[in-house]
Amino acid sequence: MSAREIVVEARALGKSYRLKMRGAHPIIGAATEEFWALRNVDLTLARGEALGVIGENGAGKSTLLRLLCGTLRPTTGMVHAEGRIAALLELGAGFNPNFTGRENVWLNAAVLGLSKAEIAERFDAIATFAGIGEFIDLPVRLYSSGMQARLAFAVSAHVDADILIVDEILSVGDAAFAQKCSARLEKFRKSGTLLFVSHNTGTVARLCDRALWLEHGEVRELGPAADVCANYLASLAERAEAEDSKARSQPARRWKPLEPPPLVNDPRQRQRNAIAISPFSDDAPWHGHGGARITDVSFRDNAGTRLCEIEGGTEVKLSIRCHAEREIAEPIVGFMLRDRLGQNVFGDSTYLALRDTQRRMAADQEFVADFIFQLPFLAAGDYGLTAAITQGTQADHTHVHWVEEAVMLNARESPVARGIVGIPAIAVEIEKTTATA
Amino acid sequence: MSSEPVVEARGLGKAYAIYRRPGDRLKQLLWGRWRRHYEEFWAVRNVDIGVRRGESVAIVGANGSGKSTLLQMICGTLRPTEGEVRLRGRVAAMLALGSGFNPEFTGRENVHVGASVLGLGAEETAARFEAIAAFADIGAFMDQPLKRYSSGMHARLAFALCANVDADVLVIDEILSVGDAAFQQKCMRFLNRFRLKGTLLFVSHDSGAVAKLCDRALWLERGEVRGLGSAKEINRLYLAAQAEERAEDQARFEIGGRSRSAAALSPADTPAPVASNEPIDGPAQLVFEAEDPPREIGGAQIQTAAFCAADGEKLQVAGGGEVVEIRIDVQAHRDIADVVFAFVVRDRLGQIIFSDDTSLCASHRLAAGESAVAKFRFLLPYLANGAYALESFVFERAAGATVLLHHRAEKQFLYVQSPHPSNGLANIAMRAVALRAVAARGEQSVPPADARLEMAGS
Repeated sequence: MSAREIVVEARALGKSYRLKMRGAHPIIGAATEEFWALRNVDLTLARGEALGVIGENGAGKSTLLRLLCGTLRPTTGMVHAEGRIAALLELGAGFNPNFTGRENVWLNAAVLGLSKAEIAERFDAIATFAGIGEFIDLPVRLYSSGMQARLAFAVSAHVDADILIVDEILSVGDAAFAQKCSARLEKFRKSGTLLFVSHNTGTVARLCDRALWLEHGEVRELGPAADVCANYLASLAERAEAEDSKARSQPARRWKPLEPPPLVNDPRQRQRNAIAISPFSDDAPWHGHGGARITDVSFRDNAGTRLCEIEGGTEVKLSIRCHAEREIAEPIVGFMLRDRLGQNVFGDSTYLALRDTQRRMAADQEFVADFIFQLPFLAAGDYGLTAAITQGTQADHTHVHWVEEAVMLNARESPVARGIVGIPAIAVEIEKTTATA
Repeated sequence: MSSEPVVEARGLGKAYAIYRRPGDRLKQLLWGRWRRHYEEFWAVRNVDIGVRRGESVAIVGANGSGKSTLLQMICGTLRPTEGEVRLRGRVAAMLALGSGFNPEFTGRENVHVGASVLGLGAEETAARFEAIAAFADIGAFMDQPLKRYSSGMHARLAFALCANVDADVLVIDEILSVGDAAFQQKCMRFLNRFRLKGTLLFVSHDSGAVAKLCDRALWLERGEVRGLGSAKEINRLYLAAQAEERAEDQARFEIGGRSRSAAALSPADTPAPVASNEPIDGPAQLVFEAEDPPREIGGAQIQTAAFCAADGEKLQVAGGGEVVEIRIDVQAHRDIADVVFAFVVRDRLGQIIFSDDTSLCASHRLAAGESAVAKFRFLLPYLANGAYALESFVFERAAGATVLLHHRAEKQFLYVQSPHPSNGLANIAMRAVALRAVAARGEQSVPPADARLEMAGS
């Protein structure tokens, strides 16, 4: 890590604009004001490193990226980058709206230094990755933002870039494409250098080694991605609060999980939250490519007896029984409770708990996945419990057998007056504090 | 709800010409009357839909399936090749960012232009300008040209305008891409109120938003309607279709089964009915409408309301799975016979995820000038990533009625970045997870066969 080759270097980078002030004389002009969109940024990136750039709208993120890839000239400082840079800046940049997608692919790839033969060879791969079908032969101005993002990403993913600069592009695609992009970026990271701008700190923390936090055009923090992201979120929260003049000012704080789940003492426990459980239906809506089947889904007590009623706020055991018809490598068994509207209330799977163990379902074997947890109080109404066997990893899996509404639940009476769930309280209390002076 | 559709599309379609060679374009121009020199490509075809007053419809589908094209035709910014659209009432649209605005004009000028395009007179616009500016909340930028706006400010202005023109139909492309957490709460509160009487049409890739916000969903695939039905049903089918696309062996992929309602919990299936809620000792539970709170009458004031960590420090970023305390500090300005505290926590869609109140606790009396704090301590579920708004209430419970003294909203946010892989609204920590092989018959478990792991609670 120490002696890695530096591929991007920026020193004292800055960019300023002259803003015309309101009320300036239309002819004499004058009254202008200097505005620094970016100032004093020092940055080095080694080969194979991934850097996330975060910050609010107008913090200078896009300006920085444009300076780095050379589409904007710095007012101060210098930038040096080695190798082929593919940049996905704001939507539509680099595309000519009146040319077709096909023509734009040729143009873009040529600008990035690919020869005619190389482009011809890769065109099909690019078109397949973009997955926009017939639109490839229509002018780009007719594309939706999602389609533009797809095409732009497809091109830059196929030009053997050394440095990839991506500006918030995953947010406009649909879920399937976002997943494809993430997988591609993960792969690219192994060999290339990635610069990634996003509002989604979750993605930055997952994808990047380091993160750069810009605020009002200046570097607020540069360090390990997870730390910078957490500090950034904390500052956002603080800001929302700053308007609240009466709020006591206390330093921001990062979460840390606390151990053993404490005992619950919720006044609502004195009320009933009986939840009726229907039997498992093997004709509930299902899909999957088969190989294993869910044969039973039930709630059970400690003795293993099937329950037809459970109580909100208590500990329950959910058992999902499966039959493997053929061998299934890396199976994941999971569930999701959905409310009347089909919204996901809560769920979990065996993936995280068991990912470090050898997992395999032998052919013609019966399996049971058990989940033991404290049920929240459920609002009155109907729920469907989805059970599924998938294969692969959390991020990339295929559906073996997915049963929607495998079991139906009905909460007939509930202490939950508002909201999706009632979280069992450890304590609810009122204390008198001394009268403020 | 009148049964007459407010938005009606019949046989709607949009075709584009694809010229395989540049020369074809010239040929078409010269001899197009006799022969076609292009291929037709239908971005949208054969869409029939009627949306009634007060209905919300979401349009879902992959990129390039024709969602945006359809919305543009419905709003009239794109002329259909075939079919027709009929609209009754005023349609306000938020399509691609900045469409409809002139980047050289100031925000103020754009508001006036935009409002007049939507049919508001100069006087009406002037009367509403303050409300629009307050909603957008972009301060002095209102008098700067739009080209200096960040995309967030752009969205704020566009939404503020649409929200203040008394639209009958609101058309929104990608509903959740607006502003910061506080602005989003404001938008969702507006939308939730708008939905009660207005008609909403929107495109979203967020199945959670679709499930929560709309009555029906239209699923487009390659420009054609693949499904039209309840949001829940369409979400389910769309998920299955996406899974099919990912499956290695699509030939073996199957979809089956029948949906059943919870009414399927017929008497034969269900256990003997349980006794109705047992009477509990002490006071009754507090009932109030958080979406439309009663009028505040004063007498006490909420000083602070905050998420705190177990040690009392203020908490702004959480991951879930930790002990969290919600504290509400109140000062009484007069004697309060029995004070009751309540809170709700809303997600990005403005929906209440959880709430609690002290109505089931012993009664508390507050004298004038006295202060009190309510503490709700609980294990925070693994909430979905995003910003959560805390809204707090303080009531006085009296013999006859319970009255709202003070209410605070949108001052406090908790940012959640969850390590939990499930996308539930409130995932909970499992105490144990195990996957074990069992004998083919019976319930006895076989000793750890392939994998077994018990997690200590965490």
